[in-house]
Amino acid sequence: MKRFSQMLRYDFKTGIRPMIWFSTGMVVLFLLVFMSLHSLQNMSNIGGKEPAYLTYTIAHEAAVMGCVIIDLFWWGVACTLFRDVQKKAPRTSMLMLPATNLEKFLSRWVYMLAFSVIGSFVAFFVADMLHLGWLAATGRTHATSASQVFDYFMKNDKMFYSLFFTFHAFGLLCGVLFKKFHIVVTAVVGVILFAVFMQVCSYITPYETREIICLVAAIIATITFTILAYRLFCRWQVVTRKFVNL
Amino acid sequence: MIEVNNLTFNYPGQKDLLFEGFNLRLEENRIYGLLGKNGTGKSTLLYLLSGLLRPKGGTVSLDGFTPHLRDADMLKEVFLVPEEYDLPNTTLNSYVRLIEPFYPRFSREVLTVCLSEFELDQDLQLGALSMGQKKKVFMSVALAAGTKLLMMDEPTNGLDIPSKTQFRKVVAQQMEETHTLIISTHQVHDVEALLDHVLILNQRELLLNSPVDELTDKYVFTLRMPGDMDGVIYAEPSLMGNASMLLRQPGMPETQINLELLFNAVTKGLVK
Repeated sequence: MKRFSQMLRYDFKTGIRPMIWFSTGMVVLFLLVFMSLHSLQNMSNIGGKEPAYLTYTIAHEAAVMGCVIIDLFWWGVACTLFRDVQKKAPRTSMLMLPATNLEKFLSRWVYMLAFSVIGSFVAFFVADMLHLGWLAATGRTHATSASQVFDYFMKNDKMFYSLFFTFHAFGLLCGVLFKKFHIVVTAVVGVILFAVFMQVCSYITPYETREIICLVAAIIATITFTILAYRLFCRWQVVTRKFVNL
Repeated sequence: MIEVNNLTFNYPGQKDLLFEGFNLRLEENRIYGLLGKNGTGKSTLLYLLSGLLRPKGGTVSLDGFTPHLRDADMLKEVFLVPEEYDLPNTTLNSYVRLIEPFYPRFSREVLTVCLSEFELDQDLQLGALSMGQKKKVFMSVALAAGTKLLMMDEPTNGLDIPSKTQFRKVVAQQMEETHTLIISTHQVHDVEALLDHVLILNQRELLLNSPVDELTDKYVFTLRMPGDMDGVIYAEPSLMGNASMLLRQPGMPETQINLELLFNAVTKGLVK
């Protein structure tokens, strides 16, 4: 446990700078979403005062877009979990650290997961606060999006959570397996697999049975992808094939 | 103790075997010089010993551990200074604070002495250092880690002439007697005064595996004039005569080893 916390500290200290830049980028991205929505919704309202219902609509749309961005961000973090150790020198440093493979794998996963959840929520909250400040400064109705985003992630159904974790685990597996273009490759392979999975599910009736089977399949896939990712990580070498870590 | 038995290895995606049926046994408390031409597998062997590569066949054992399983108890006794290495963009102090807890015998005193020998300050921003300075910092950290096995791959590459002297001094002072050091290099002059065992590697096989004292008992390295080449095993012309290697006869004084001469003689098959 002590060594795991040392590993966590090492990952945190060596990885915090890009994380801060990433979070700052997220704030800017969310602000751009807010401002773009104001511009788009007010296209036919040039010079007029923005009506209150429109501000609420914008807040809702921003929340929906925010949720999509956060989902994609979490998935992207899983894909790029080991991106900084794909080259020889950083990989050597990481693999030679006196900690077990499990400690190295878990510490990075825990740290990145914690960062991606906290970082994205904080980024959205900050962007929402700045948006609220701007609404107040320009005399518009106050309408927050943060609570809707929070509800989306906290009060969703079982299928949402299981698919969320399946995608995360799949991203993790691809992140460990591929050396380059993690996000693109994972997205392409993921879309194909998901389409096949949905096609197979569509043949299952009745709906209740389909839901249970999909749920169980998602849980099994999550566990399998995670175990495979870890096993593959244990077999990592300092020199591998050009595109895959085999 | 390090034991390599019947090792077979090729890089992923390559058909040619780099090692085939390779055997090696290294004892503790020695400074080994691993010599060989470019591409003969010196770095690969270090990577295999440190668990960064997995053998295709045969076994590698390091004090009973299988290196490629990367057991934490094994890793805390092994430090590798590779040719390409990575230092985080932070201060030396923060870096040391990060890695110090992983190595039970890490010594701040040794680090201070090494840095001072290398004429480096304690208060360093690692991102602002030149490649040579980074190398000196990394080697100081490696020595301070106090691991039982320390491996250095081309440690003098990128070091200027005074730094090479400093390197020899630092290693000679700070290597504890109970520890083992393997230096892989093709810059033989930089390390010949340090070594007490020579390993010469050539495509798939170990051409020479011998303690330096046995070599200096058996051979003499001296200058001979062109007309006085009797008994010379191997010679190379130099400005002061021929640098020569010959069998040591009774009554001949012991000489310091000339690794370049020995290396060339061995790789040409003149010495076994």
